[in-house]
Amino acid sequence: MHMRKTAGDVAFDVILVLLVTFVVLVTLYPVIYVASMAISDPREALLGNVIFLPRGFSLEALKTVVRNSQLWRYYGNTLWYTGVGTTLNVLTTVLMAYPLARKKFFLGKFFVLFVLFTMFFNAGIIPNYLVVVRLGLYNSRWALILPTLATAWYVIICRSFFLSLPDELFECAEMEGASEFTILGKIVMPLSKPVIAVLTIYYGTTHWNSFFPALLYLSDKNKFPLQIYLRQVVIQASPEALEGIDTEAFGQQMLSLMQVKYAVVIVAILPVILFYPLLQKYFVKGVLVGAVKG
Amino acid sequence: MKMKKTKERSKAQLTPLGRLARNLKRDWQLLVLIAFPVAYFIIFKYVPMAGLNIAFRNYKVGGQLFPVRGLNDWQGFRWFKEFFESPFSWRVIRNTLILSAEQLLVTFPAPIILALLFNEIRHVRVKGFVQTVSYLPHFISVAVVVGIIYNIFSVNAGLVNEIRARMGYEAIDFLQKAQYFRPLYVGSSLWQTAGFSSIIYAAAIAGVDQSLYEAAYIDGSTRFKNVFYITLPSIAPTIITMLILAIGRLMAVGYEKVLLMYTPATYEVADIISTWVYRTGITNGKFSLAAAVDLFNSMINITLLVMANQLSKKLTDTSIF
Repeated sequence: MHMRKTAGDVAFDVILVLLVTFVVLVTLYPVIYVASMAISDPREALLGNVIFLPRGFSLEALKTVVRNSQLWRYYGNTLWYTGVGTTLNVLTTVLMAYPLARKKFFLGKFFVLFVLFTMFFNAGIIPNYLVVVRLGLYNSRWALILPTLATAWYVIICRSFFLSLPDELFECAEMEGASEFTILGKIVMPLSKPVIAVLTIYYGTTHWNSFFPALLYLSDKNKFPLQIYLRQVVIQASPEALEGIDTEAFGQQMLSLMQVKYAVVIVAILPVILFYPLLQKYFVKGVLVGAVKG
Repeated sequence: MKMKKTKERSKAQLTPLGRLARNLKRDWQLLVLIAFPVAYFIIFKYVPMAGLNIAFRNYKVGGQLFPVRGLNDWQGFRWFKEFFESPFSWRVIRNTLILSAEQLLVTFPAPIILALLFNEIRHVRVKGFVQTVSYLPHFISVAVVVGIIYNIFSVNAGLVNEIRARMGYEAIDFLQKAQYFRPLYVGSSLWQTAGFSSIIYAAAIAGVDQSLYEAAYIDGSTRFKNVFYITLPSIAPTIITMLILAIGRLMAVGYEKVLLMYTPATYEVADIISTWVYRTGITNGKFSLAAAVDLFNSMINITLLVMANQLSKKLTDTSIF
């Protein structure tokens, strides 16, 4: 179709470009600003000369953060929670979703309702907390893993994906005498990489970003995840949280301590930013898979 | 033919127990697979629901979570009454409603506008880039978002106060002043959610019949008019579905972010039902009272969801259940 460009169309395009540029700037601004503060010259940062891009260059604040052994412990903890948690999340979700996607399963409908009900009604903080404590999970690393093994919404997403696989696949396998375990492990799983990717990303970012369960269930500092540390340093500005940071090493400790807050934020979101471009195509997929049948 | 008939009859004649035995024999492998996740849902989702019985009892630390050794501490609706008679009940209910309503008003239309905006970008790669950038905040943790707010709005050397100082204004401690809590909360929510929530609308727009635009073009319509007369009406069902879901979550406003953002100085506007429940139950150990208030909150949520759904069914024929 041939398009003629009228004055109205040109005006439309100009407004569009302006609005879109504005959206991109507003979205990226806070992240860029924090990064600029973290790597600017300490004096420039303290004098408030950093508005958008870095002024001067200094890695002292980042070095201070990176040299802190406590931070690496929290980083390691978060990696453990994310790794172990996400693996078990995906496993539990698939094990729940697969039988629900088998049309012959005589309890299928019942269990779909069983899962859906938990989406609309949650017992709330107090009973959940008491049950976890009663199970002896207080101050255990498993308190951050077991209570959130599967989310109803993701079970439904996973089931929708399995349901979209061709029926003949299951019929043929049954005719050949394959067990359900074989069908799931050898036939369905190899075809399910897209949905596994979606589940991994969603559960993974949830674990990486989670702070409330740790606040609720952990008292031992050595088990804290990174997000708790972040809260202590950046939000509560607790001097205790900075212990282990070698402030004597350089003279202008006041300057650096202020920058340390920015540097900690950067260190915490770096993995998300680095993996983001690689994974972003799956984000959209996840939302849409859920939307079709949800 | 005859054989099939007898087979059917024998199927019909199977006793319930016999049918169960047949089903178990056929589906036992599926039951093995589902056993672990079902155990999870029972222990961590359904047992806590049963644990809500403490809302009607006087549960003390170390006491029985389920009244198996006799029910000797039944309180009926005592905790609900106590809450409604306390001076804080009105404050937390009002704060929850205002914060949720402001949040809904600001963050609900934004992703629709973004999706309409992105849809007009003709350059495919530019469109992809802009969308990808807009999803990013969704993946940044609440602790980091609040951390960034604290950095930017801090009273010492925060960006906003630096700029105010340059302009000759006095520094404001934004995080300790009640009147700034809601704007900061809602504003940062807008930043966090607008882009990612636009995905669902972008998908709906992608499904709009392209011939409508061609016909409009021949009729001399402009792109600006198309947005309001074609695109927007076409995605109306999606908008309504999302609105129902949003209303259902009205009172479930995220306590995580409030918990990170508020200070005792801002409690008067920032303390919402869920943060009050957290402090009363977990911090002060009044489990029964806190559970009762949480239960009340959940009930309102479900009622809101059902009402929004019914209303939408009546008005527009769109509903989620």
